Amino acid sequence: MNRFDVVVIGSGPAGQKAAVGAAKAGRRVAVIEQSRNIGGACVHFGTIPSKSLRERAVERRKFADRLAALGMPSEAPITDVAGLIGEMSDVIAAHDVYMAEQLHRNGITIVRGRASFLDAHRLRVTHTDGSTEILGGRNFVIATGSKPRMPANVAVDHETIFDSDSILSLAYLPESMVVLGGGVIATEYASIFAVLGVRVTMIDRFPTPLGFLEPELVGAFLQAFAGYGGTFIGEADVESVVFDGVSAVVTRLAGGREVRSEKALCALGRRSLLDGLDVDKAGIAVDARELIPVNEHHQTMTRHIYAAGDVIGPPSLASASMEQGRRVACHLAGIDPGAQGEWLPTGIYAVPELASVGLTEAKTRERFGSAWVGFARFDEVARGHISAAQNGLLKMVASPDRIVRGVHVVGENATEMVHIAQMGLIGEATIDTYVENVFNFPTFAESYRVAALAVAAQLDAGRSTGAKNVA
Amino acid sequence: MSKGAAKGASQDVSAYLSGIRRHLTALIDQGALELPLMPGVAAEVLSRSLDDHSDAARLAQLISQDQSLASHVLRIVNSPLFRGATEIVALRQAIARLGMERIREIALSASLSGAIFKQAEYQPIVDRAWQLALCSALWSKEVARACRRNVEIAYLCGLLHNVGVPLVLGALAGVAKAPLSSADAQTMLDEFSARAGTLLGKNWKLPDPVIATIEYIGAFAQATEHADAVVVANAGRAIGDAMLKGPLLGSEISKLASIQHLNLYPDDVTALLSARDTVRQSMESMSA
Repeated sequence: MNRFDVVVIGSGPAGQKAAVGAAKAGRRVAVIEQSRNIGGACVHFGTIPSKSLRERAVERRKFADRLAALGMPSEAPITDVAGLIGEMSDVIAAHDVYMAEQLHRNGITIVRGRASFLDAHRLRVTHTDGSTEILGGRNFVIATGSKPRMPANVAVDHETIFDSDSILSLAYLPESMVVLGGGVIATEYASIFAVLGVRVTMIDRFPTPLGFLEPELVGAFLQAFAGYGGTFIGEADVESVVFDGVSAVVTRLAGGREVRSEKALCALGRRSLLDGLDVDKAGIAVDARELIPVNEHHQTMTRHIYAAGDVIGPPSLASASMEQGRRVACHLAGIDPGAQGEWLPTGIYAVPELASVGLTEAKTRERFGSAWVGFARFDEVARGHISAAQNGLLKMVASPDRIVRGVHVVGENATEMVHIAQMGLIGEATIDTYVENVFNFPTFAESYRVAALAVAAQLDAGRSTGAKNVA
Repeated sequence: MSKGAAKGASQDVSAYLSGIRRHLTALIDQGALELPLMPGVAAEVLSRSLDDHSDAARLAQLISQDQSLASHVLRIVNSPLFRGATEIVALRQAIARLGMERIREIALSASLSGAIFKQAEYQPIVDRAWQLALCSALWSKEVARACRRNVEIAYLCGLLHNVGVPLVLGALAGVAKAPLSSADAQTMLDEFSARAGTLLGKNWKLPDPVIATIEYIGAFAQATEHADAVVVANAGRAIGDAMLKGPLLGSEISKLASIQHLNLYPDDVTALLSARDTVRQSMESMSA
């Protein structure tokens, strides 16, 4: 039996950071990875591929729009999916190499195989050829991630009806596509395919997609989505999704409505990936949502075994998983990881991008009695016109003491812009901070001043946002 | 025959085979290998298989232009696997029953079988190659599904991976004074079929993943482009070959280099091989 100080199961964002952190602290570390490549679903099916595809789709769309603006409309639709995917594969390969090198550089042993607990101190690893080996560890980190949730009424076949792991195996752009769901993954892919010219219909049980975001952002997203030819059907109960055996996927909704499309994508969330891990043999019980409960140090109920990333549940963001992995490594090494950051930004790589940090208007009102809100539209800042990216806005929410409590952005560079607000939140910046300090011109960041000035004007006039300041 | 005479005969055969080898090499190097025209229906179907916007009426019209193909398709759709309660008597009805994609696959397979996989002097070898092509296509789809690779491309890659076989045998028939032994013919195929198939693939303007598969299916690790499609087809062919030879054993399939390359664990292989009855039925129906 091969013994290690720390055995990390999974090499995604959480596992990788935990492994590298533990190795840097002098621990003898092994990472067990069941895939051929390092990085987990984040690199191979999720975060990196979808963002990479998005960038390329937007580039092509902008190019086509620019040609049209110059009086040279392109007749050819964007159909070179193979090219798009090929470019995306290059990004993934580069990332894979970088991560594998990082593990090697830190002296971490990579074991390819599927792990299952024999007891709380030993794992059996099964290799693809069926051979097995036993690994022992003083500590373990479960970072096995998640996989797409497959509702029984959706007949995913990876040929006509895809899940979020198989959608990027498409060889050509379909004429039409139904996207089931209204969450982050659904919204991202729906808008990307719409930008590429696919007639997309998003179907969800909630009235709007991305219901956790500010309504103004969702409204801007839906407006852009409709502009790309997309349709959103909300408050819909999906009864079944099947390929009709001829040429169409039929999505049947309660009430008798049917939506026919060439392909469909089921993006109705993900579930923790614990198949075959036998965590019960290590004394760990999963909760009702099949997630592993952990304490503030990410220890499971078997204290020398940690869990991080998607297996412990929301927020299920790569960024959060990395931080969880780092914290695990710190706790293992007896190092103070520092205070848990209160302000976790959310980024949605749809077209347009959406991002949010801090409190919403409603939460601010709930907590502070009233909310003072300012908007900056990208068509009011020079950079929006220069970059032909006027379809965006920034919403700033402040409490009566002038402290900015939340910033929400939709539009180009939203996922980058939101970090200004994150730093402001940490320092409890007031609206005056944004008014009195100079930003580069012309930039999208100028929107912060515009929005802050709008809030300041209301505060100075002694009025908050109408009924919104009512406690 | 004396030892000396036997040795002389062996040297004669060896020289004879070397001559054929030189001839085939020259044919391929000079691009003088006789390449058949792509069957019309296959060309149409292929041109649409990566751009699925045609309608059922157009597909039915295409197939109906070839009387023998149309009757072949109807025979297949009325086989026990596909036939429902009522007999299928029209192509539109067949499409409505089985779907565009399935009818495309059937039409493509049938047209290639009728036009390309024919070679009287080596018919048993050609028949076996055709069986392997079909079986590889069906298994490649299942492998692709299991690995989240593209299922439609996998079928094409599997079906066309050995399209060079009838070409080489056709060239042998023209060059050799008499049909070669099976073993000698196989040696020539091992040496030339991938190159001949690649020539044909380029001439027919087959999709790039298919050409890469034809060229590298025997050495998937060397494929620099479309490596995923090549390795999926390699696995599909290996499983198909095993099925044609006898019972499918998961323990054996798990050891295949391509299966390991695709990261399929024994559990995944067991799940994959559960499609064996469906594949077998499809084989029987499409070979009807």
